[in-house]
Amino acid sequence: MTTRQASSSKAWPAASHLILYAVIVALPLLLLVGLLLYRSVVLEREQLERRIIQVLDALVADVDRDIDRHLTVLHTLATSPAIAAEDWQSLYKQAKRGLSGKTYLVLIDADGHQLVNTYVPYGRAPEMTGDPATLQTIRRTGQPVVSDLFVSLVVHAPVYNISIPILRDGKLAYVMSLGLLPEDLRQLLDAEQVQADWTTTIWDRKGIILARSRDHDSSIATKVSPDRLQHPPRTVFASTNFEGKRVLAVTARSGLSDWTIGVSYPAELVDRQVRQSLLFWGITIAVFAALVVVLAVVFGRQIAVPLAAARQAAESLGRGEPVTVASSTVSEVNAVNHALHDAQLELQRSLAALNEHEEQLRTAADAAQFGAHQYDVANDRSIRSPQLRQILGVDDAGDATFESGLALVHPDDRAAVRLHKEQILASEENYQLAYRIRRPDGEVRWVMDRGKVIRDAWGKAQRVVGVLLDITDLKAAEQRQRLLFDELNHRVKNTLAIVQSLAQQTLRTKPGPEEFAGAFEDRLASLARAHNLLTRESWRGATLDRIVHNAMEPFADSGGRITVEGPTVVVPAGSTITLCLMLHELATNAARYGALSTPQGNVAIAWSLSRNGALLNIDLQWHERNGPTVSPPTRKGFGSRLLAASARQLNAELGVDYDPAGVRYRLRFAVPVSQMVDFLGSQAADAVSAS
Amino acid sequence: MPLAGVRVFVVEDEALVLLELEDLLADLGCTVVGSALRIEEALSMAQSVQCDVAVLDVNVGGARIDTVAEALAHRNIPFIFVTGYERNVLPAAFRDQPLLIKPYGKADLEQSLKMCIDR
Repeated sequence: MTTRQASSSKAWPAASHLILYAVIVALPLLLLVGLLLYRSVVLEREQLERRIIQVLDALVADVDRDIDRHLTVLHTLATSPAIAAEDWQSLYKQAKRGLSGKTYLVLIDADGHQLVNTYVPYGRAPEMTGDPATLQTIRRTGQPVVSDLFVSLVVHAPVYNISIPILRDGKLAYVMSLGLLPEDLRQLLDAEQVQADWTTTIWDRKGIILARSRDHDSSIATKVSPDRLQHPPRTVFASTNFEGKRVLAVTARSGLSDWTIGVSYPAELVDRQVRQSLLFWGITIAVFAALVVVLAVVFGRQIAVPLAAARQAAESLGRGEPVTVASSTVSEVNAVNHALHDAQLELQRSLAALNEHEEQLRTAADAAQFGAHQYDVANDRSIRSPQLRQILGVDDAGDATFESGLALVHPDDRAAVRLHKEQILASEENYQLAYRIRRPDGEVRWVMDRGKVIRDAWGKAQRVVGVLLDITDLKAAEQRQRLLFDELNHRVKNTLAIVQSLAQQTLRTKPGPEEFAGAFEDRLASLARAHNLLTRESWRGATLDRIVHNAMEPFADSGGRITVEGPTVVVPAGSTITLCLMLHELATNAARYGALSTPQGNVAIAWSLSRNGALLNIDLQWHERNGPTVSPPTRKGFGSRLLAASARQLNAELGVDYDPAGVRYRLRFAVPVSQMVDFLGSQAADAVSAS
Repeated sequence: MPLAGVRVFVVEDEALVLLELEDLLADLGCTVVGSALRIEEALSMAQSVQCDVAVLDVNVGGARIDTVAEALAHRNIPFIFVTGYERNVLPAAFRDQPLLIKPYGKADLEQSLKMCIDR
């Protein structure tokens, strides 16, 4: 029996099916979660950008407000009467009073000559302006100007100016500037500082840094990173900061100056958010997957365990073992279990019936001594039943081929069997063949081989099933029977010839109807009695004692006395009839003319035996006494001719003595000892021949 | 009588039948120059007996007549077979010889002898 494994590559355990199912259901949900997380990251980022731009806008407003405040101071000072009066000393004093901190006033004429500089004591101002660019711009535009960073002649450090023109009669007469230190701007930035790791920077139209929220002192008057200048305002872009860290940056222009204000914050902030979201998503998926696997295994077991039990039950069914049906929580499995249980009951019933049937068949085959065989044509394989092996005299239980089987067939019958095999496979449905086999031990047996050819749908012979019967005994009986028929025929014909001769011979000597009838009937009766004697002994012969008694029986009631004496000896069947006929003739003569014709006469029949190799010599004497006086016959009658011919037939020596006191006959002949053995058995024969 | 003086050699294992056969042959004018009841006897006589024709029982006391027939054929002496069996029991070489089926009458014997001698 072969066990079919779950060999298909498409077959998975139930838990795997459930996992697949869960994954298919969960995949859109997981994608949705991912999408939502992505949206939230984007929103977060947008929110952050909005906040940064708000901060930027606030900074721009602060810077502009500061500039505006300084412009207001300048406009107020511009209305001073000291200017009209060109009283520069008064103006100096007035400005000194009005300005606080490090802010200082510079007044130059239209040619750039310094008239007032409050940073230095009055009258010590440098001759020319330190900020000719502002003068040129004001000459061109006539508008207030906020300068780039430049190194002051008096402060000897980077400063910037906020300047306004002062007109006289419609023409530029003076330029009034406030000198300012970038330090003030830094304080402004500090006021708006939101996060420690953010950086806010202000640079002028040449890209020179005026102020920075971090590392102000080292960065001032240095060039801002060039990529900060390329991007449109109020747009977030990626960059690297002065520390080499990745940052996101955004810029905006001041309305009152040509300055730019930039805010940058670490990209790390945004990256961390993305990472957190991804982490969250990953954890969600992992937790979900774990849950799916655990649940699939749990539910899978609820299906797989009863299924495995059902499988075991099915295998038990296959092996013919009892099926134990466990109840499960899966109704389909329960249905399978019940079906298996029912199948087993049905199978048991069928098996019981089959076993009974097979037992009957086996008993019948045993009783009939049939040997069964089955021949697989395509594979040239023959299977033999134990009885067949017994008939063939072979022990091997292994496979046999046609040729190995043919080797067991008697050489004289092999060609015929081979020819019949071809014929049978080609066209026969049933076959019957009798042939001889020669067993490995050399014994020759006759067998009858009968069977049937099983064919496929195309008529090609697939198998031959048949039975073999040992018919040796039957064949022998058949042979014996044929011999018996032949023998019977011969005997009948021979007997008829004897009867015919008997009739003719009797007719020649007794032509009268009445005397013929009497003599013929007597001789025929004698012949019949001899036949009866032999038939009683199955024609194997008869003992001499019986032969003599049988022949003398009709004469027992005649006048004389008959004595019979001699050892047991067996005469062959062929000689028995001859002896009977001879004795009959002697007795008939004695009854008519000799010792048996008178009441006081007697006949002594006696014999003795002597062994001569394989032969037993019989010396038989017929001695008549007390009868009428004997005289030799004058002519040779039927009786003497018969005696002479019969003696020759028996290869016997016949002696006749016509003693006047009584006639004597002596018959000496031999019979084979083997006849005795056949008839009496060896022990009895030995005892007889030895005595 | 066409068979007068014909010398006949007879082999017959049944004494009674031999007597009758001898008488029949005598009735037909033949002379029985020799008779045998056993196969050894028949074989030795077949070598030397001076006869014109032989009458041979096929089965002589359980032995086959074949060797006797061969000896006679060798001496160019014609013969008749007598048997209680069918013709197919005859020796293969002599299957065409005249055959008398037992029991037979005088006329059958006469006809067979004539056929045999005329051949």
